[in-house]
Amino acid sequence: MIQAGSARARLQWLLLIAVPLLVFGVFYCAPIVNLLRLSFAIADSPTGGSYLPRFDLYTKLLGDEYFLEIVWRTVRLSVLTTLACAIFCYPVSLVVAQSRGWAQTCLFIVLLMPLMTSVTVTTYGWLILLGQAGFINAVLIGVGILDRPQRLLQNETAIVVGLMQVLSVFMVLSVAAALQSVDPNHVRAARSLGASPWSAFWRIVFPQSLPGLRTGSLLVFSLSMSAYATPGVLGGPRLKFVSFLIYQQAMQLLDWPRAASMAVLLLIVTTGMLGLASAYGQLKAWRQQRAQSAGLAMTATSQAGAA
Amino acid sequence: MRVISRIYTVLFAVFLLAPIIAIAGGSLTTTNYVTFPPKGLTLHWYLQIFQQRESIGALGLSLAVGVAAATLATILALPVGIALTRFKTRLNSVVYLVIMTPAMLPSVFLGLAFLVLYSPMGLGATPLGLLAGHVMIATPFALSLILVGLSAFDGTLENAARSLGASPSRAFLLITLPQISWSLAAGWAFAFMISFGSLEISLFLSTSTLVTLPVQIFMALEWSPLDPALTAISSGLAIITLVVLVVAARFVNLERFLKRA
Repeated sequence: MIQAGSARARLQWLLLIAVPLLVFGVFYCAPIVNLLRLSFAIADSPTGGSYLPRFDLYTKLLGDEYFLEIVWRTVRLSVLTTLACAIFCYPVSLVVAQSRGWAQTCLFIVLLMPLMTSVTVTTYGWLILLGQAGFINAVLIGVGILDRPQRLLQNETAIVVGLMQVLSVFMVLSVAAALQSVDPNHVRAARSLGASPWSAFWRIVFPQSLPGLRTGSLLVFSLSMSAYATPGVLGGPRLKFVSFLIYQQAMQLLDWPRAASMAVLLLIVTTGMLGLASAYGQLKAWRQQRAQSAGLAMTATSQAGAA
Repeated sequence: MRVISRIYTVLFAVFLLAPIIAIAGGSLTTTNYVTFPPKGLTLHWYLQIFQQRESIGALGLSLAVGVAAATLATILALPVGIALTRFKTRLNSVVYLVIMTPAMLPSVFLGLAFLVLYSPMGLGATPLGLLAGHVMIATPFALSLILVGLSAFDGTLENAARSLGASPSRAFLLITLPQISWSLAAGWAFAFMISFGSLEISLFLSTSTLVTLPVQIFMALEWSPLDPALTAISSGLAIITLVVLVVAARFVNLERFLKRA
C-alpha cells in the first residue's frame, strides 16, 4: 500500500482513474444531473425548455391520487416482499454460513442463478408455472386442495412471489455474511454455561446477525421498489408499479419532465434509505471508535450488545 | 434438526430455480403451446429459432453489445481497481461510489436519465448510446470481481520483481496480471451477463430497429406468452447463464461475496 503523500504517487493515482472517471462523468453523472434539472422544468415544454427551479411538477404529483395509489401499492408490496424474504431466507443463511467446499459452491450458484438470469426469462418461467393450465394449478388439483383451476396470476401474491425469487440472494448473502463473523466460541461458551441450543441462538447468534438482516432488508426493499418487469408481467395491467408508470410517461406519453420528477421521487425513496442506513452505520462505528480510543472499550462493547 | 434444515434448503433451492426449470422443460414440448411438464420431448423449437430472423437479429445485437460492454467495462474497471488497492487516499471512496452506484440506483431512473441526455448528444437511438448505457451498469460488476482478485493478490511478489530490477509496467504485466487473470475473466463474464440480461436500460435506449433479446422477449410476452419458440430462446439464455456461473465458480472463490456483502 502506497501512501498518497508524495506528488509522484498522487500523479500515478490520478493517471489510473482519469479515463474511467471521465467516461463516468460524461455518460453517467451528467445524465443524472440533467435529469434532476429536468424534473424541475415546467411541463408545457416536452423536452424541458425552461429550467426555473420550480416545484410545480412535484406538488402536482403529490396531489395526484392515481399516482399516490400506485406509490402506495409499490411501497406496500415492497414491504411485504422484504418481510417474506427475511423470514424465508434466514434459515438458508444459517446453512450457507455453515457450509463448506463444493456444497457451498453449489449453494452460491443456485443463489446467483436468479440474479444473473435475465429478469424477462424468470418472469416468463412464472407465467408458465402459474397459468390456468400450469404446473402449480395441476399439482394443487392433484393433491385435492383445489377442485378447478384458479387464477394465480395478475394478483399481488404473484408479484411478491416473483420478487422474492429474484431478490432472495441479497437477503441470504447479507445475513450469511453477518452470521459468518459470529465467533463459534461464544456459542460454545453459552452452551457450556447451560444455555439450551435455542436460547444460545436467540441470545448470542441472532443479535449479531441483525446488521446483516438490516442490510439485506434495505437492499431487497429498494430493489423491489424499483422493480419493473416482475410486477409488470405477473401483476398485469391493473397492478402497476411506479417504474411502469415512469416508463409509460416517458415512452408512450413522451412527457419527459413528469417522468423525470417521478423517477427522482423513486430515487429519493430507494437510495435515500440506503444512504441513511449507511450514514447511521458509519456514525455508530465512529462513536464506537471514539469510545474505544478514549479507553472506554467496556462501554463500546455494552453498546454493541444493546444495539 | 440437521435433516430439517437440509430439506428446507433444498425446497428453497427448488423455489429459486422453479421458473428456470419450467422454461427449460417447457421448451422441449412437442405441443404448439408451452406446457410444463412437457408433453413429449423435441428440440424442434430450438431449431425453429434459426428461422426467426427477428430473434436472430436481437440475439446478435445482445451478444455484440454484451461483448463490447463487458470488454469496455473490464478495461475501465482494471485501472480503478489498481488505484483503489494500491493507493490510500480519502478520494478513493468517492471514486468507488461513482463507479459502483450504477448497480444500486433504480434501473428505470438510469434508463430515463440516459435517454434524456443521450438524445441531444446524438446517441439517442444508436447502438453507441445503447452500448454506453450498458457499459455504465456492467462496470460495477467487473470492478467488484477485479477488486476480489487484487485484494487477494500478494503485493510482495510484485515488490520482489521490482527489487530484482523489473520496471513497474513489466512487473505488473509479468507478475500481477497473470495472478489476477481469473478475476479479470470472471469480472468480464459477470459484466457480460449483466449487459446481456439487462431489460430496463435497453427498453429506454432501444428503437423499433434496435431491439435486444430481453426487450424482444419482454415485448413478446404481451402478445404471445406461451410460444414454444420464445421459450426455447429464453431457455438458451438460462443455459448460457448457468455455464458462465459454473465456470466462474470454478476459478473464483465465490465465498468472497460474503466478505463484501
